[in-house]
Amino acid sequence: MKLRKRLVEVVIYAFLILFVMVLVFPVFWALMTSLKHPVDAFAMPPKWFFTPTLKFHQFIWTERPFPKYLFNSLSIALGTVLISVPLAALAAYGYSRYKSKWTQRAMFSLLAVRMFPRMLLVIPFFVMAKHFGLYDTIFVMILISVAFNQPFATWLLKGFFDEVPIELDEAAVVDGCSKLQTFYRIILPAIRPGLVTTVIFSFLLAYNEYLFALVLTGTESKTLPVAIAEYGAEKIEYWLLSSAGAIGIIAPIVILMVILQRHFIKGLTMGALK
Amino acid sequence: MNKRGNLWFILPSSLVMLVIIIYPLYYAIKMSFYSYYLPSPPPFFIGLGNYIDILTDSIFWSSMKVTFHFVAVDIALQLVLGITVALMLDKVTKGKGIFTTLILLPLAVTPVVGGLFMRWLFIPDWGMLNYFLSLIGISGPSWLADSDWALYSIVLADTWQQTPFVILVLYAGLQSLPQEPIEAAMVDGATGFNQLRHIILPLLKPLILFVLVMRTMDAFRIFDTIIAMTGGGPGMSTEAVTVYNYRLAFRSLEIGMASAVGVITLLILAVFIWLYIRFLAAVNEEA
Repeated sequence: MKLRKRLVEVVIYAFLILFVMVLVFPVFWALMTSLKHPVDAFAMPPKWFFTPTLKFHQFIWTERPFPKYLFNSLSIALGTVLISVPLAALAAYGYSRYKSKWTQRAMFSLLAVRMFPRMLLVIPFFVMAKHFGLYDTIFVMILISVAFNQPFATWLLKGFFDEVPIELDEAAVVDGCSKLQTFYRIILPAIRPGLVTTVIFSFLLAYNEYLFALVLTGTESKTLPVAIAEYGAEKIEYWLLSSAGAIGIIAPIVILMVILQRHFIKGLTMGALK
Repeated sequence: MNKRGNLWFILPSSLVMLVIIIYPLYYAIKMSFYSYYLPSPPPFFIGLGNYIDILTDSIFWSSMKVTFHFVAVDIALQLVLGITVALMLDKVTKGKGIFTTLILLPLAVTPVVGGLFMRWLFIPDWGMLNYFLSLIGISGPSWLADSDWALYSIVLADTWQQTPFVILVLYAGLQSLPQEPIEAAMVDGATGFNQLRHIILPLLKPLILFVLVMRTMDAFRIFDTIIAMTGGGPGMSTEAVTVYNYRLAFRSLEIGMASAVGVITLLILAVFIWLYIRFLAAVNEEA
Protein backbone atom coordinates (compact mmCIF):
# COMPACT_ATOMS: atom_id res chain seq x y z
CA MET A 1 0.00 0.00 0.00
CA LYS A 2 2.75 2.39 0.97
CA LEU A 3 4.64 1.49 -2.17
CA ARG A 4 1.66 2.27 -4.35
CA LYS A 5 1.26 5.66 -2.73
CA ARG A 6 4.91 6.38 -3.35
CA LEU A 7 4.59 5.36 -6.97
CA VAL A 8 1.64 7.67 -7.47
CA GLU A 9 3.58 10.50 -5.90
CA VAL A 10 6.54 9.91 -8.22
CA VAL A 11 4.28 9.87 -11.25
CA ILE A 12 2.64 13.11 -10.17
CA TYR A 13 5.98 14.78 -9.64
CA ALA A 14 7.24 13.55 -13.00
CA PHE A 15 4.14 14.88 -14.75
CA LEU A 16 4.33 18.22 -13.01
CA ILE A 17 7.98 18.66 -13.83
CA LEU A 18 7.36 17.79 -17.45
CA PHE A 19 4.37 20.11 -17.57
CA VAL A 20 6.25 23.03 -16.08
CA MET A 21 9.13 22.44 -18.47
CA VAL A 22 6.73 22.64 -21.38
CA LEU A 23 5.30 25.86 -20.00
CA VAL A 24 8.68 27.46 -19.58
CA PHE A 25 10.26 26.20 -22.78
CA PRO A 26 8.85 28.71 -25.32
CA VAL A 27 10.19 31.62 -23.31
CA PHE A 28 13.45 29.87 -22.60
CA TRP A 29 13.94 29.03 -26.25
CA ALA A 30 13.17 32.56 -27.42
CA LEU A 31 15.70 33.84 -24.91
CA MET A 32 18.30 31.39 -26.21
CA THR A 33 17.54 32.28 -29.80
CA SER A 34 17.93 35.98 -29.12
CA LEU A 35 21.44 35.37 -27.82
CA LYS A 36 22.63 33.20 -30.72
CA HIS A 37 24.59 33.98 -33.83
CA PRO A 38 22.59 33.20 -37.00
CA VAL A 39 24.66 30.12 -37.74
CA ASP A 40 23.75 28.67 -34.35
CA ALA A 41 20.14 29.78 -34.41
CA PHE A 42 19.24 28.06 -37.66
CA ALA A 43 21.25 24.94 -37.01
CA MET A 44 19.45 21.64 -37.25
CA PRO A 45 19.65 19.65 -34.96
CA PRO A 46 19.32 22.59 -32.57
CA LYS A 47 22.31 23.79 -30.64
CA TRP A 48 21.99 23.80 -26.89
CA PHE A 49 25.49 25.10 -26.28
CA PHE A 50 26.82 28.07 -28.19
CA THR A 51 28.75 31.27 -27.77
CA PRO A 52 26.24 33.96 -26.91
CA THR A 53 26.06 37.41 -28.41
CA LEU A 54 24.25 40.50 -27.32
CA LYS A 55 24.39 42.12 -30.71
CA PHE A 56 20.75 41.59 -31.60
CA HIS A 57 19.54 42.92 -28.30
CA GLN A 58 21.77 45.89 -28.77
CA PHE A 59 20.60 46.39 -32.34
CA ILE A 60 16.94 46.44 -31.56
CA TRP A 61 17.35 49.10 -28.92
CA THR A 62 19.88 51.29 -30.64
CA GLU A 63 19.19 50.94 -34.35
CA ARG A 64 15.44 50.53 -34.25
CA PRO A 65 12.86 52.88 -32.67
CA PHE A 66 12.16 50.45 -29.84
CA PRO A 67 13.08 52.95 -27.13
CA LYS A 68 10.36 55.20 -28.54
CA TYR A 69 7.86 52.37 -28.53
CA LEU A 70 8.86 51.56 -24.98
CA PHE A 71 8.29 55.16 -24.00
CA ASN A 72 4.86 55.06 -25.60
CA SER A 73 3.90 51.80 -23.94
CA LEU A 74 5.11 52.96 -20.54
CA SER A 75 3.43 56.35 -20.83
CA ILE A 76 0.14 54.77 -21.73
CA ALA A 77 0.38 52.19 -18.97
CA LEU A 78 1.40 54.73 -16.36
CA GLY A 79 -1.22 57.23 -17.43
CA THR A 80 -3.83 54.51 -17.31
CA VAL A 81 -2.91 53.46 -13.80
CA LEU A 82 -2.77 57.00 -12.46
CA ILE A 83 -6.28 57.79 -13.68
CA SER A 84 -8.01 54.45 -13.72
CA VAL A 85 -7.14 53.13 -10.27
CA PRO A 86 -8.32 56.19 -8.30
CA LEU A 87 -11.57 56.25 -10.28
CA ALA A 88 -12.14 52.56 -9.73
CA ALA A 89 -11.21 52.84 -6.05
CA LEU A 90 -13.80 55.53 -5.51
CA ALA A 91 -16.44 53.52 -7.30
CA ALA A 92 -15.50 50.28 -5.56
CA TYR A 93 -15.72 51.99 -2.19
CA GLY A 94 -19.15 53.27 -3.05
CA TYR A 95 -20.31 49.84 -4.16
CA SER A 96 -18.79 48.17 -1.16
CA ARG A 97 -20.35 50.45 1.41
CA TYR A 98 -23.75 50.79 -0.19
CA LYS A 99 -25.19 47.38 -0.81
CA SER A 100 -28.52 47.40 -2.48
CA LYS A 101 -30.28 45.74 -5.36
CA TRP A 102 -29.42 48.72 -7.49
CA THR A 103 -25.69 48.46 -6.87
CA GLN A 104 -25.82 44.74 -7.44
CA ARG A 105 -27.30 45.40 -10.84
CA ALA A 106 -24.63 47.97 -11.50
CA MET A 107 -21.89 45.49 -10.63
CA PHE A 108 -23.41 42.99 -13.00
CA SER A 109 -23.46 45.51 -15.80
CA LEU A 110 -19.77 46.10 -15.12
CA LEU A 111 -19.26 42.42 -15.67
CA ALA A 112 -21.18 42.69 -18.91
CA VAL A 113 -18.96 45.51 -20.11
CA ARG A 114 -15.92 43.41 -19.37
CA MET A 115 -17.29 40.76 -21.68
CA PHE A 116 -17.98 42.97 -24.66
CA PRO A 117 -16.49 42.06 -28.00
CA ARG A 118 -13.70 44.58 -28.34
CA MET A 119 -13.94 44.49 -32.09
CA LEU A 120 -17.38 46.06 -31.93
CA LEU A 121 -16.01 49.06 -30.06
CA VAL A 122 -12.78 49.50 -31.92
CA ILE A 123 -14.62 50.48 -35.07
CA PRO A 124 -16.49 53.54 -33.77
CA PHE A 125 -13.34 54.48 -31.90
CA PHE A 126 -11.38 54.49 -35.09
CA VAL A 127 -13.94 56.62 -36.87
CA MET A 128 -14.27 59.06 -33.98
CA ALA A 129 -10.55 59.28 -33.28
CA LYS A 130 -9.89 60.21 -36.86
CA HIS A 131 -12.69 62.74 -36.75
CA PHE A 132 -11.47 64.44 -33.59
CA GLY A 133 -7.83 64.34 -34.61
CA LEU A 134 -6.99 61.95 -31.81
CA TYR A 135 -5.64 59.27 -34.09
CA ASP A 136 -2.07 58.24 -33.32
CA THR A 137 -1.95 59.91 -29.91
CA ILE A 138 -0.97 58.58 -26.53
CA PHE A 139 -3.94 60.45 -25.11
CA VAL A 140 -6.56 58.39 -26.92
CA MET A 141 -4.88 55.15 -25.87
CA ILE A 142 -4.95 56.24 -22.23
CA LEU A 143 -8.63 57.15 -22.54
CA ILE A 144 -9.48 53.72 -23.86
CA SER A 145 -7.36 51.79 -21.39
CA VAL A 146 -8.79 53.76 -18.48
CA ALA A 147 -12.35 53.06 -19.56
CA PHE A 148 -11.79 49.38 -20.25
CA ASN A 149 -9.94 48.90 -17.02
CA GLN A 150 -12.80 50.20 -14.87
CA PRO A 151 -14.86 46.99 -14.66
CA PHE A 152 -12.04 44.70 -13.66
CA ALA A 153 -10.37 47.19 -11.34
CA THR A 154 -13.66 48.04 -9.67
CA TRP A 155 -14.50 44.38 -9.09
CA LEU A 156 -11.04 43.70 -7.70
CA LEU A 157 -11.05 46.68 -5.38
CA LYS A 158 -14.58 46.08 -4.19
CA GLY A 159 -13.50 42.61 -3.16
CA PHE A 160 -10.68 44.11 -1.15
CA PHE A 161 -12.88 46.79 0.39
CA ASP A 162 -15.41 44.15 1.39
CA GLU A 163 -12.75 42.56 3.56
CA VAL A 164 -12.38 45.72 5.62
CA PRO A 165 -14.93 45.72 8.44
CA ILE A 166 -17.39 48.57 8.38
CA GLU A 167 -16.62 49.30 12.02
CA LEU A 168 -13.48 50.98 10.80
CA ASP A 169 -15.55 53.40 8.73
CA GLU A 170 -17.86 54.07 11.63
CA ALA A 171 -14.97 54.70 14.00
CA ALA A 172 -13.55 57.21 11.56
CA VAL A 173 -16.87 59.02 11.29
CA VAL A 174 -17.09 59.15 15.06
CA ASP A 175 -13.63 60.70 15.06
CA GLY A 176 -14.96 63.45 12.83
CA CYS A 177 -13.94 62.32 9.35
CA SER A 178 -16.09 63.14 6.37
CA LYS A 179 -16.91 60.26 4.08
CA LEU A 180 -14.17 61.22 1.65
CA GLN A 181 -11.66 61.53 4.44
CA THR A 182 -12.68 58.15 5.78
CA PHE A 183 -12.01 56.84 2.34
CA TYR A 184 -8.55 58.09 1.68
CA ARG A 185 -7.21 58.38 5.21
CA ILE A 186 -8.45 55.15 6.77
CA ILE A 187 -9.94 52.61 4.39
CA LEU A 188 -7.70 53.02 1.35
CA PRO A 189 -4.51 52.47 3.33
CA ALA A 190 -6.16 49.42 4.84
CA ILE A 191 -6.23 47.73 1.46
CA ARG A 192 -2.71 48.63 0.44
CA PRO A 193 -1.82 45.11 -0.81
CA GLY A 194 -5.06 45.09 -2.75
CA LEU A 195 -4.09 48.39 -4.31
CA VAL A 196 -0.76 46.94 -5.36
CA THR A 197 -2.54 44.04 -7.00
CA THR A 198 -4.92 46.34 -8.84
CA VAL A 199 -2.10 48.60 -9.98
CA ILE A 200 -0.17 45.61 -11.34
CA PHE A 201 -3.12 44.32 -13.29
CA SER A 202 -4.13 47.71 -14.59
CA PHE A 203 -0.60 48.38 -15.71
CA LEU A 204 -0.32 45.00 -17.42
CA LEU A 205 -3.63 45.36 -19.21
CA ALA A 206 -2.58 48.69 -20.66
CA TYR A 207 0.96 47.54 -21.47
CA ASN A 208 -0.24 44.39 -23.26
CA GLU A 209 -3.00 46.06 -25.25
CA TYR A 210 -2.82 45.07 -28.89
CA LEU A 211 -6.06 45.45 -30.84
CA PHE A 212 -6.78 49.07 -30.00
CA ALA A 213 -3.14 50.00 -30.33
CA LEU A 214 -3.00 48.30 -33.71
CA VAL A 215 -5.94 50.29 -34.99
CA LEU A 216 -5.42 53.61 -33.31
CA THR A 217 -1.68 54.18 -33.31
CA GLY A 218 0.48 55.16 -36.21
CA THR A 219 4.16 55.97 -36.27
CA GLU A 220 4.13 58.44 -33.39
CA SER A 221 2.37 56.56 -30.65
CA LYS A 222 3.06 52.99 -31.69
CA THR A 223 3.37 50.63 -28.74
CA LEU A 224 5.66 47.66 -28.16
CA PRO A 225 3.11 44.91 -28.85
CA VAL A 226 2.21 46.42 -32.22
CA ALA A 227 5.86 46.94 -33.12
CA ILE A 228 6.91 43.42 -32.26
CA ALA A 229 4.01 41.91 -34.17
CA GLU A 230 5.20 43.74 -37.26
CA TYR A 231 8.70 42.42 -36.80
CA GLY A 232 7.58 38.92 -36.10
CA ALA A 233 5.51 38.77 -39.21
CA GLU A 234 8.43 39.40 -41.48
CA LYS A 235 10.84 36.95 -42.98
CA ILE A 236 12.63 34.34 -40.97
CA GLU A 237 15.90 36.27 -41.22
CA TYR A 238 14.46 38.74 -38.76
CA TRP A 239 13.78 35.96 -36.29
CA LEU A 240 16.78 36.78 -34.15
CA LEU A 241 15.95 40.44 -34.06
CA SER A 242 12.30 39.77 -33.21
CA SER A 243 13.19 37.37 -30.43
CA ALA A 244 15.51 39.96 -28.94
CA GLY A 245 12.76 42.53 -29.07
CA ALA A 246 10.19 40.12 -27.69
CA ILE A 247 12.38 39.14 -24.76
CA GLY A 248 13.06 42.80 -24.11
CA ILE A 249 9.35 43.50 -23.97
CA ILE A 250 8.47 40.81 -21.48
CA ALA A 251 11.64 40.80 -19.38
CA PRO A 252 10.48 43.59 -17.04
CA ILE A 253 7.09 41.96 -16.63
CA VAL A 254 8.55 38.56 -15.82
CA ILE A 255 10.90 40.03 -13.25
CA LEU A 256 8.08 42.04 -11.70
CA MET A 257 5.88 38.99 -11.66
CA VAL A 258 8.42 36.90 -9.80
CA ILE A 259 8.89 39.60 -7.17
CA LEU A 260 5.18 40.40 -6.79
CA GLN A 261 3.90 36.85 -7.24
CA ARG A 262 1.61 36.84 -4.30
CA HIS A 263 -0.18 39.97 -5.43
CA PHE A 264 -0.53 38.65 -8.91
CA ILE A 265 -2.08 35.39 -7.79
CA LYS A 266 -4.39 37.23 -5.41
CA GLY A 267 -5.62 39.30 -8.31
CA LEU A 268 -6.25 36.28 -10.48
CA THR A 269 -8.19 34.45 -7.84
CA MET A 270 -9.98 37.45 -6.39
CA GLY A 271 -12.57 37.59 -9.08
CA ALA A 272 -13.35 33.94 -8.53
CA LEU A 273 -13.46 33.60 -4.78
CA LYS A 274 -16.01 36.23 -3.97
CA MET B 1 -24.50 55.06 6.26
CA ASN B 2 -25.70 57.99 4.30
CA LYS B 3 -26.85 56.46 1.06
CA ARG B 4 -26.94 59.56 -1.05
CA GLY B 5 -23.30 60.34 -0.37
CA ASN B 6 -22.15 57.03 -1.74
CA LEU B 7 -23.50 57.89 -5.14
CA TRP B 8 -20.83 60.53 -5.59
CA PHE B 9 -18.16 57.87 -5.23
CA ILE B 10 -19.55 55.90 -8.12
CA LEU B 11 -20.13 58.86 -10.38
CA PRO B 12 -16.69 59.61 -11.86
CA SER B 13 -16.00 56.03 -12.88
CA SER B 14 -19.47 55.57 -14.32
CA LEU B 15 -19.21 58.81 -16.25
CA VAL B 16 -15.93 57.75 -17.81
CA MET B 17 -17.39 54.45 -18.90
CA LEU B 18 -20.55 56.07 -20.17
CA VAL B 19 -18.70 58.45 -22.40
CA ILE B 20 -15.92 56.18 -23.57
CA ILE B 21 -17.72 52.88 -23.85
CA ILE B 22 -21.46 53.33 -23.94
CA TYR B 23 -21.52 56.13 -26.46
CA PRO B 24 -19.29 54.34 -29.00
CA LEU B 25 -21.42 51.26 -28.44
CA TYR B 26 -24.51 53.22 -29.37
CA TYR B 27 -22.70 54.63 -32.38
CA ALA B 28 -21.57 51.18 -33.51
CA ILE B 29 -25.05 49.71 -33.23
CA LYS B 30 -26.45 52.65 -35.15
CA MET B 31 -23.80 52.26 -37.85
CA SER B 32 -24.73 48.63 -38.32
CA PHE B 33 -27.88 49.83 -40.02
CA TYR B 34 -26.06 52.09 -42.43
CA SER B 35 -23.97 51.50 -45.47
CA TYR B 36 -20.72 53.22 -44.64
CA TYR B 37 -17.75 52.79 -46.90
CA LEU B 38 -15.07 54.82 -45.15
CA PRO B 39 -13.34 56.36 -48.18
CA SER B 40 -16.63 57.71 -49.52
CA PRO B 41 -18.92 59.07 -46.81
CA PRO B 42 -21.57 59.99 -45.92
CA PRO B 43 -23.22 56.84 -44.66
CA PHE B 44 -26.80 56.16 -45.65
CA PHE B 45 -29.48 54.15 -44.01
CA ILE B 46 -30.10 50.64 -45.32
CA GLY B 47 -31.98 49.04 -42.48
CA LEU B 48 -31.15 45.36 -42.20
CA GLY B 49 -29.12 45.34 -45.42
CA ASN B 50 -25.80 44.70 -43.69
CA TYR B 51 -27.22 41.89 -41.62
CA ILE B 52 -28.64 40.19 -44.69
CA ASP B 53 -25.34 40.55 -46.53
CA ILE B 54 -23.45 39.03 -43.63
CA LEU B 55 -25.84 36.20 -42.95
CA THR B 56 -25.63 35.21 -46.60
CA ASP B 57 -21.85 35.43 -46.70
CA SER B 58 -20.34 31.97 -46.62
CA ILE B 59 -17.10 33.39 -45.25
CA PHE B 60 -19.00 34.71 -42.25
CA TRP B 61 -20.37 31.26 -41.55
CA SER B 62 -16.93 29.76 -42.05
CA SER B 63 -15.55 32.20 -39.50
CA MET B 64 -18.34 31.27 -37.09
CA LYS B 65 -17.50 27.63 -37.54
CA VAL B 66 -13.81 28.32 -36.94
CA THR B 67 -14.59 30.31 -33.80
CA PHE B 68 -16.96 27.78 -32.29
CA HIS B 69 -14.66 24.91 -33.19
CA PHE B 70 -11.78 26.76 -31.60
CA VAL B 71 -13.68 27.62 -28.44
CA ALA B 72 -14.92 24.06 -27.95
CA VAL B 73 -11.52 22.40 -28.26
CA ASP B 74 -9.68 25.18 -26.46
CA ILE B 75 -11.97 25.21 -23.43
CA ALA B 76 -12.22 21.45 -23.15
CA LEU B 77 -8.45 21.07 -23.24
CA GLN B 78 -7.79 23.86 -20.76
CA LEU B 79 -10.43 22.70 -18.33
CA VAL B 80 -9.27 19.09 -18.27
CA LEU B 81 -5.60 20.04 -18.10
CA GLY B 82 -6.25 22.78 -15.59
CA ILE B 83 -8.23 20.64 -13.17
CA THR B 84 -5.72 17.80 -13.46
CA VAL B 85 -2.71 19.97 -12.75
CA ALA B 86 -4.49 21.84 -9.96
CA LEU B 87 -5.32 18.56 -8.26
CA MET B 88 -1.76 17.37 -8.68
CA LEU B 89 -0.37 20.60 -7.32
CA ASP B 90 -2.61 20.22 -4.33
CA LYS B 91 -1.35 16.71 -3.70
CA VAL B 92 2.41 17.35 -3.74
CA THR B 93 4.12 18.21 -0.53
CA LYS B 94 7.36 19.82 -1.60
CA GLY B 95 8.04 22.42 -4.23
CA LYS B 96 4.57 23.97 -4.46
CA GLY B 97 6.15 27.41 -4.44
CA ILE B 98 8.53 26.76 -7.30
CA PHE B 99 5.87 25.09 -9.38
CA THR B 100 3.51 27.99 -8.83
CA THR B 101 6.12 30.54 -9.81
CA LEU B 102 6.96 28.70 -13.00
CA ILE B 103 3.33 28.10 -13.85
CA LEU B 104 2.80 31.86 -13.68
CA LEU B 105 5.29 32.47 -16.46
CA PRO B 106 3.03 32.19 -19.55
CA LEU B 107 0.64 34.67 -17.94
CA ALA B 108 3.40 37.24 -17.71
CA VAL B 109 3.95 37.13 -21.45
CA THR B 110 2.15 39.69 -23.61
CA PRO B 111 -0.34 37.69 -25.70
CA VAL B 112 1.06 38.93 -29.00
CA VAL B 113 4.58 38.05 -27.89
CA GLY B 114 3.35 34.66 -26.74
CA GLY B 115 1.89 34.13 -30.16
CA LEU B 116 5.25 34.92 -31.74
CA PHE B 117 7.08 32.54 -29.43
CA MET B 118 4.61 29.85 -30.38
CA ARG B 119 4.90 30.64 -34.05
CA TRP B 120 8.64 30.07 -33.97
CA LEU B 121 8.19 26.74 -32.25
CA PHE B 122 5.62 25.64 -34.82
CA ILE B 123 7.74 26.26 -37.88
CA PRO B 124 7.95 22.95 -39.73
CA ASP B 125 11.64 22.65 -40.55
CA TRP B 126 13.51 24.51 -37.82
CA GLY B 127 10.80 24.65 -35.20
CA MET B 128 11.47 22.96 -31.91
CA LEU B 129 8.08 21.30 -31.77
CA ASN B 130 8.71 19.13 -34.79
CA TYR B 131 12.24 18.53 -33.57
CA PHE B 132 11.01 17.14 -30.27
CA LEU B 133 8.40 15.09 -32.08
CA SER B 134 11.08 13.65 -34.34
CA LEU B 135 12.98 12.56 -31.25
CA ILE B 136 10.12 10.24 -30.39
CA GLY B 137 9.70 9.11 -33.95
CA ILE B 138 6.79 11.28 -35.04
CA SER B 139 7.04 13.28 -38.22
CA GLY B 140 5.27 16.50 -37.36
CA PRO B 141 2.91 18.19 -39.84
CA SER B 142 3.40 21.63 -41.31
CA TRP B 143 1.36 23.06 -38.47
CA LEU B 144 0.80 26.67 -39.50
CA ALA B 145 0.92 25.99 -43.22
CA ASP B 146 -1.45 23.05 -43.07
CA SER B 147 -5.09 24.01 -43.10
CA ASP B 148 -5.98 20.93 -41.11
CA TRP B 149 -3.55 21.70 -38.30
CA ALA B 150 -3.36 25.48 -38.21
CA LEU B 151 -6.35 25.92 -35.93
CA TYR B 152 -5.04 23.31 -33.52
CA SER B 153 -1.77 25.18 -33.44
CA ILE B 154 -3.68 28.20 -32.22
CA VAL B 155 -5.47 26.02 -29.69
CA LEU B 156 -2.15 24.76 -28.37
CA ALA B 157 -0.73 28.25 -28.21
CA ASP B 158 -3.74 29.61 -26.35
CA THR B 159 -3.73 26.60 -24.05
CA TRP B 160 -0.07 27.26 -23.25
CA GLN B 161 -0.85 30.80 -22.35
CA GLN B 162 -4.15 30.47 -20.50
CA THR B 163 -4.14 27.10 -18.72
CA PRO B 164 -2.06 28.61 -15.89
CA PHE B 165 -5.00 30.87 -15.14
CA VAL B 166 -7.29 27.85 -14.81
CA ILE B 167 -4.74 26.00 -12.72
CA LEU B 168 -4.08 28.84 -10.31
CA VAL B 169 -7.73 29.69 -9.74
CA LEU B 170 -8.72 26.06 -9.16
CA TYR B 171 -5.67 25.46 -7.01
CA ALA B 172 -6.57 28.43 -4.84
CA GLY B 173 -10.04 26.98 -4.57
CA LEU B 174 -8.69 23.60 -3.55
CA GLN B 175 -6.58 25.25 -0.89
CA SER B 176 -9.58 26.92 0.63
CA LEU B 177 -11.92 23.96 0.58
CA PRO B 178 -13.51 23.11 3.90
CA GLN B 179 -11.75 20.07 5.26
CA GLU B 180 -14.59 18.50 7.23
CA PRO B 181 -16.49 16.84 4.38
CA ILE B 182 -13.27 15.36 3.01
CA GLU B 183 -12.17 14.10 6.41
CA ALA B 184 -15.61 12.70 7.08
CA ALA B 185 -15.45 10.82 3.80
CA MET B 186 -12.03 9.45 4.61
CA VAL B 187 -13.33 8.19 7.94
CA ASP B 188 -16.18 6.55 6.08
CA GLY B 189 -13.61 4.74 3.99
CA ALA B 190 -14.07 6.53 0.67
CA THR B 191 -11.26 6.02 -1.81
CA GLY B 192 -9.37 8.94 -3.28
CA PHE B 193 -11.22 8.73 -6.55
CA ASN B 194 -14.61 8.68 -4.89
CA GLN B 195 -13.61 11.59 -2.73
CA LEU B 196 -12.79 13.40 -5.89
CA ARG B 197 -16.00 12.72 -7.69
CA HIS B 198 -18.49 13.15 -4.92
CA ILE B 199 -16.97 15.78 -2.69
CA ILE B 200 -14.17 17.80 -4.19
CA LEU B 201 -15.52 18.40 -7.65
CA PRO B 202 -19.02 19.40 -6.50
CA LEU B 203 -17.48 21.82 -3.99
CA LEU B 204 -15.39 23.29 -6.74
CA LYS B 205 -18.34 23.70 -9.06
CA PRO B 206 -18.76 27.49 -8.69
CA LEU B 207 -15.07 28.01 -9.40
CA ILE B 208 -15.09 25.66 -12.35
CA LEU B 209 -18.04 27.53 -13.74
CA PHE B 210 -16.33 30.84 -13.21
CA VAL B 211 -13.26 29.63 -15.07
CA LEU B 212 -15.45 28.14 -17.77
CA VAL B 213 -17.27 31.40 -18.39
CA MET B 214 -14.14 33.55 -18.25
CA ARG B 215 -12.26 31.34 -20.64
CA THR B 216 -15.19 31.00 -23.02
CA MET B 217 -15.59 34.77 -23.21
CA ASP B 218 -11.91 35.21 -23.92
CA ALA B 219 -11.61 32.31 -26.34
CA PHE B 220 -14.51 33.72 -28.29
CA ARG B 221 -12.69 37.01 -28.69
CA ILE B 222 -9.28 35.61 -29.54
CA PHE B 223 -7.39 37.89 -31.90
CA ASP B 224 -3.80 38.71 -30.91
CA THR B 225 -2.62 35.11 -31.05
CA ILE B 226 -4.14 34.43 -34.45
CA ILE B 227 -2.63 37.56 -35.96
CA ALA B 228 0.76 36.72 -34.50
CA MET B 229 0.71 33.14 -35.73
CA THR B 230 -1.22 32.85 -38.97
CA GLY B 231 -2.99 36.09 -39.81
CA GLY B 232 -6.12 34.06 -40.54
CA GLY B 233 -4.66 31.54 -42.95
CA PRO B 234 -3.93 29.22 -44.49
CA GLY B 235 -7.05 29.74 -46.52
CA MET B 236 -9.83 30.46 -44.06
CA SER B 237 -8.84 27.83 -41.55
CA THR B 238 -7.92 30.22 -38.75
CA GLU B 239 -10.11 33.12 -39.73
CA ALA B 240 -12.16 33.46 -36.60
CA VAL B 241 -14.99 35.94 -36.30
CA THR B 242 -12.67 38.57 -34.84
CA VAL B 243 -10.30 38.30 -37.78
CA TYR B 244 -13.17 38.38 -40.25
CA ASN B 245 -14.53 41.44 -38.49
CA TYR B 246 -11.14 43.12 -38.51
CA ARG B 247 -10.66 42.52 -42.21
CA LEU B 248 -14.08 43.85 -42.98
CA ALA B 249 -13.48 47.03 -41.03
CA PHE B 250 -9.87 47.83 -41.73
CA ARG B 251 -9.10 46.20 -45.06
CA SER B 252 -12.40 46.44 -46.87
CA LEU B 253 -13.26 49.58 -44.91
CA GLU B 254 -16.91 48.62 -44.74
CA ILE B 255 -17.70 50.24 -41.42
CA GLY B 256 -21.41 49.49 -41.53
CA MET B 257 -21.02 45.81 -42.28
CA ALA B 258 -18.24 45.38 -39.74
CA SER B 259 -20.37 47.00 -37.07
CA ALA B 260 -23.13 44.56 -37.88
CA VAL B 261 -20.76 41.63 -37.39
CA GLY B 262 -19.80 43.17 -34.07
CA VAL B 263 -23.43 43.40 -33.03
CA ILE B 264 -24.02 39.77 -33.96
CA THR B 265 -20.98 38.78 -31.89
CA LEU B 266 -22.30 40.86 -29.02
CA LEU B 267 -25.67 39.12 -29.17
CA ILE B 268 -24.03 35.71 -29.02
CA LEU B 269 -21.83 36.74 -26.10
CA ALA B 270 -24.84 38.35 -24.45
CA VAL B 271 -26.44 34.95 -24.13
CA PHE B 272 -23.41 33.73 -22.20
CA ILE B 273 -23.26 36.87 -20.10
CA TRP B 274 -26.93 36.63 -19.24
CA LEU B 275 -26.64 32.97 -18.28
CA TYR B 276 -23.68 33.68 -16.07
CA ILE B 277 -25.30 36.64 -14.34
CA ARG B 278 -28.36 34.49 -13.68
CA PHE B 279 -26.10 31.90 -12.11
CA LEU B 280 -24.24 34.47 -10.01
CA ALA B 281 -27.50 35.95 -8.77
CA ALA B 282 -28.71 32.51 -7.74
CA VAL B 283 -25.47 31.80 -5.90
CA ASN B 284 -25.66 35.18 -4.18
CA GLU B 285 -29.16 34.46 -2.98
CA GLU B 286 -28.09 31.13 -1.54
CA ALA B 287 -25.30 32.90 0.36
